[in-house]
This record gives sequence, C-alpha cells and structure tokens, in this order.
Amino acid sequence: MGDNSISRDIIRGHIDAIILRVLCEGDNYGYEIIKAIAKNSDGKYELKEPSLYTSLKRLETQKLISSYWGDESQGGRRKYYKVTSLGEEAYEKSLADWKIAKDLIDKLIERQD
Amino acid sequence: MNSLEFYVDHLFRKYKASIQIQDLRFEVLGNLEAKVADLTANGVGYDEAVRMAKENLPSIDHLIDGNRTIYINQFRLEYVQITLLYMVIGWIVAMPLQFIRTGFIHWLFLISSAIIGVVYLVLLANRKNINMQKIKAFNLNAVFDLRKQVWLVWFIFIGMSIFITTALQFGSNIWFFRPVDISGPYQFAMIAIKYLIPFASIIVPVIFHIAPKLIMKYEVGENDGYKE
Repeated sequence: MGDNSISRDIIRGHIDAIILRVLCEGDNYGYEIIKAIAKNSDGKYELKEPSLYTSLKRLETQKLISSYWGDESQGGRRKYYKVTSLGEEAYEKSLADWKIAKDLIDKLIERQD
Repeated sequence: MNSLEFYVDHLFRKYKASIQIQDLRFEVLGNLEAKVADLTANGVGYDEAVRMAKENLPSIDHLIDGNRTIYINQFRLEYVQITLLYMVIGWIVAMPLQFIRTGFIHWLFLISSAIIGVVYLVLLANRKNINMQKIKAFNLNAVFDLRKQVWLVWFIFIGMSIFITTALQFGSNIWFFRPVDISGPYQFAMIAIKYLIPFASIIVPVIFHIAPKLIMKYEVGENDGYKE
C-alpha cells in the first residue's frame, strides 16, 4: 500500500485532519508529529517535511492550532503546536465529513452481488 | 557549527532575518536535529542520518510568506511573448512619428521588437529541450514592491520631462511676459509631440506591471512540486 499512488492522493487531501488528530491527543512538535503519523499508519505512511510545514502554517493561519516554544535544556529549540477549540471543532467536522464520504465511496465502488 | 546548522543556513541564505524567518529557521533546525537524534538512537550512523534528514527537506522556499513557486520556463516564455506584443504595438503606434523627424522612438521599438522576437523564437524552438516543469520561487511581495517603485520612477520622469519641455518651450515667454505664439496647426502639433514623446516610455512600467499576475498564473499547486 505504501507505493499506492491513489491512496497517497486521497491521504494528501486530508493531511490537515490527520495532523489535527495527532494534536488532539496532545501538544506536539514537528518531528514527533511525523513520527506519530507513521505510527498511526503502522509505518505505511510517512508525511514529508515540506507538506508538514505547509499544513502547520495553514492550520495556524486559520487559528485551528497555536504554537509555543518548548524549554529544552539541550539541543535545538522545539516549536510545539496546540489545538485550539476552533481546531477541535474543525477536527470533529472533518471526521464526520470523512465518514460520510467513505460510506458513499464504498457504495459507489464496491459491487453488490 | 555542525553540518545540520550549516545546511539550514544554506536553505535560508536568501532571506532576511525577520522574526518569523528566524522562528522558522529554529523550528526547521530543531526538527532536523530531533530526526537525526532519533535515527542515530536506532542504529543509523551519524553521517547517514544527517544525509537522510537533509534529503527530506530540499528547500524551504514555499514556506516563506509571499513566496510563490512557479514553473519558471513556462512563465518566461509567456512573459517574453507579452513583452514582444507590447513592443510591436509600441512600434505601430509610434509609426506616424517618423514623418516628423522624431523617428528614433519608432526605431527604438522596432529594434527592441526584433531583439525580443529573436529571444522568443529561440525559447520557442528550444521548448522541447528545456524542462518546462522546472520550478523556482519568487517573492510576490517583492515583485509588487518593485512594480510600485518602477511606476514611481516613471511618474517622476514624466513630471521632470513635462517641466523641462515647458521651460525650454515657454521659459522665455514666462520670464519676459511675452505672449505665446503658435502660428498654426503644424506648430501646435510639434509642441504637442514634444510633450507626448516621453510617454512612449510607459512601456517600461507596463511590462513590470504584468509580472505579478503572470507569476500567479504559473504558480505550482500546493502539492505538485513535491514527490510524496
């Protein structure tokens, strides 16, 4: 499935919701978000960094997430993201929309013998 | 400075150190360091981990505010084409001027058209050999600023040339309170042309004016430019 371009195209349209889901489970920073997504997909999907930054920037502009700097004593500074109440609403809505779309696509594609 | 910092500096070398950009720089660096730390903890060699981290983030151009990634060669072809069109229009409009000994503008347009025409034909002929999908980032805000500045310079130029023409033409009339003597329609036309000639230079700001719109036209879609 990892090489399946159709499923990648479908996932691509839902990156914002995928990231919101990770952040709904707790504040997180860029690299850990990528890791969490890989883990949620059982290692079958890896979000690329350019897409991550684009999506985070968009979510922040839409005020669905907010950010703050972590206070690591060593190593690089980490920018953490936190979902806002607006973001939680958006996440619930994306989830509901996705379920409707999934049912519909199932009905449309699967043959009913 | 370690090689990751060096790499991140390289990614950001084109951009001024504004607060947002500094933030982004730290964020990118922090994430790359976290990735390298994670990979090395899982047994990957340090150099290999750094290489893998860099590979995943070849550019940050699309993350800068106002930056638009465009298909540069497609953009260039149409920009040259439009410029050529404007030059030819300029040449046609300026044609009558050659009969009244101000033909140099007419020639200027003609020569410019010829040069740009050759450039256009070369680009067109090489179309199959060049990569029309090649992308490049432009800062749209900077292009808009440049456009504004070019218009400003042009207005100053026009203001100055009207002032100078008036001073040369009517300076002594004003100075000595002499009435202006325009003896006929031909003389009137000659004076009008003196005022109008500098306006031919409007072609320069007009050509700058269309750039932002074209940049937006050839913008790469959000995910087109990257292979997932």
